[in-house]
Amino acid sequence: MGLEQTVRAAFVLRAPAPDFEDAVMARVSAAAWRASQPVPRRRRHILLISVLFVVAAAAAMLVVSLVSAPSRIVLQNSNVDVVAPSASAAANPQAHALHESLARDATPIQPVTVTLVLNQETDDPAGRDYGQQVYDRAREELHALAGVIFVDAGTAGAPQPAFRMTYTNKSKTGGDFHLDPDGTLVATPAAIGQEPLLKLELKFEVDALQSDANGVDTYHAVFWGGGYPMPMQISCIGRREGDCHSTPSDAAALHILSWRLESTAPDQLLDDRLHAMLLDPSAPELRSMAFNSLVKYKKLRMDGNELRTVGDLIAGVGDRALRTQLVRASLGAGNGPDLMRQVQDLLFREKPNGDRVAGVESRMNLVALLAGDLRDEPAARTTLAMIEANDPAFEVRAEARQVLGAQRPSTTR
Amino acid sequence: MDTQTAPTPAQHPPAEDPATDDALQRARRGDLTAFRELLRIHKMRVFSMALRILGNGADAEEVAQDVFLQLYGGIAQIASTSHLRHWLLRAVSHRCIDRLRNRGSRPRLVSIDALPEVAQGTTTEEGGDLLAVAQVRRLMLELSPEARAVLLLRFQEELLPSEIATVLAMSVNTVKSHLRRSLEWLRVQLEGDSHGS
Repeated sequence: MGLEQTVRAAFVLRAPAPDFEDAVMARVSAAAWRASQPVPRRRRHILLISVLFVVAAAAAMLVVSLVSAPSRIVLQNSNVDVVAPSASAAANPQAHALHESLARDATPIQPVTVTLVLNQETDDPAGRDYGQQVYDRAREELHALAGVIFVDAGTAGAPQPAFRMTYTNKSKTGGDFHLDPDGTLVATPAAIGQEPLLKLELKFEVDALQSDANGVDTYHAVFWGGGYPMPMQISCIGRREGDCHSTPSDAAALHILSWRLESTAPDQLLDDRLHAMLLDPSAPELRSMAFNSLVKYKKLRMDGNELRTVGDLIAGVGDRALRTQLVRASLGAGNGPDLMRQVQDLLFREKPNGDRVAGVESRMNLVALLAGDLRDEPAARTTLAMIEANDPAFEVRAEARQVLGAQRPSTTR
Repeated sequence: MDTQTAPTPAQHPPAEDPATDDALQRARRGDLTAFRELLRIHKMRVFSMALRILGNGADAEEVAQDVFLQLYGGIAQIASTSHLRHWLLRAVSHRCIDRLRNRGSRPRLVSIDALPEVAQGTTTEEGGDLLAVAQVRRLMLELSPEARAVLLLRFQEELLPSEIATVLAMSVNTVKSHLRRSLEWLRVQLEGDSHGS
């Protein structure tokens, strides 16, 4: 083999860690969201059919409404469920006073308008499914994160129109529409006069069905945060397997979580939701955002479930600073031995064909971890020695050997 | 073989790929799925460049992430797939070189001026094997960052010296100098190793 051939052979392409793509896309999504603040009004050519459902929500207001309202109405799709209140002011005036006091002290969540915009050309079954996913998930996330109660404008006795649709295009402007329970858009002759509570807007736009080069309809796109799209193949609606990574409902959830993190101080609702997101590997962007937020707010619990999640993330997480924070948080919580077991499991676990589950770069990361933050753990040197003797990759063995060599003078003195 | 010889057609990547071009056009319109496609297509190229220049997987992954994030911010300026490829190579090369320059403790680097002057076309001796491949990877890390980038762009990306000059903002003569001296230095080191020194 000539020298140039040898050099070429040395430069064979290497793949980054398996979660590299997700890590990049999470950063890209976050960048897109940051760039979208404040919401620009630049997509002036669309806004053809709008569906507005107005939500007035505050943690304090929620408490008050739970106590004082004779009943509360929860919107599920367009069906209305009546939910009995847990208490009433009349029945328990002391509790009512307490809740009012709490409400005064609490940081109010600003009323929010969630807008789902359907493009003119989006009136197809896939587009409706797509929009429905966004709508459903937005409702769920708002409820989970902000205790929002949804009120259907079309329901008799509802205090205000909370679900308003507007249709606008060049030929026809100003007509009002509503979404029937079966999902069809129906024109409403009478205009709805009330202005929605436009303190804050969470806007999602479902774009027209896009075609590939062969003219085959392939995907819709949800534009969220004022212009940044999260496209999804039609075949991906409702599923995440294979090439279907994120769903439009993830776009909704990501956007709402971002809003929640920006708009109010952490509270129990947010705390619980972030932990639930952290344990859910199915939406990497959300998991990453939840993880970052929990580290930021020092809310990592480091219980058994979280430790398993941490173990999953340690090997491949691209953000070294975050990984360091994470490991230190774990060690600070007295989880050193558990963390070591996680690291050992990641290092030595094998697939059925005998290959290691963690890739070479992940194992290199773990060696670096053993040489750094975990170096004072009793099992660290033993683990490094096992890697030096048994790891199938030359680079990993060499790295472990180098670490052990560097440690030897200080440990054998 | 002359180090400036153009790569064979099989080695040279296709200039324009319709599927990639379609993804690029969609990504320019803000389509994140298309951006992910571009990421998937180019991640190995970018990561490998960073890995070979920096010599550390974690650093390489960090730089590669930064490059793609930078790409997202400037994708509207990318006119074609060949432009995209050159943009990525330039971004990753410069980021890696800057990172190595800014590092407090650098590995032993071999400056281009410290490398022996050799005549062109003396780098075709036989004698490479798998061990030599591993040695080349190790020796690469002793070259200056610029020399590493030049070698990678030539032998991983199969760019011509004129293309490398554009990517790295160097003169063509400097690129040729880096190639000649680096290869000769590698040859000398490999021969030394094979003789047990």
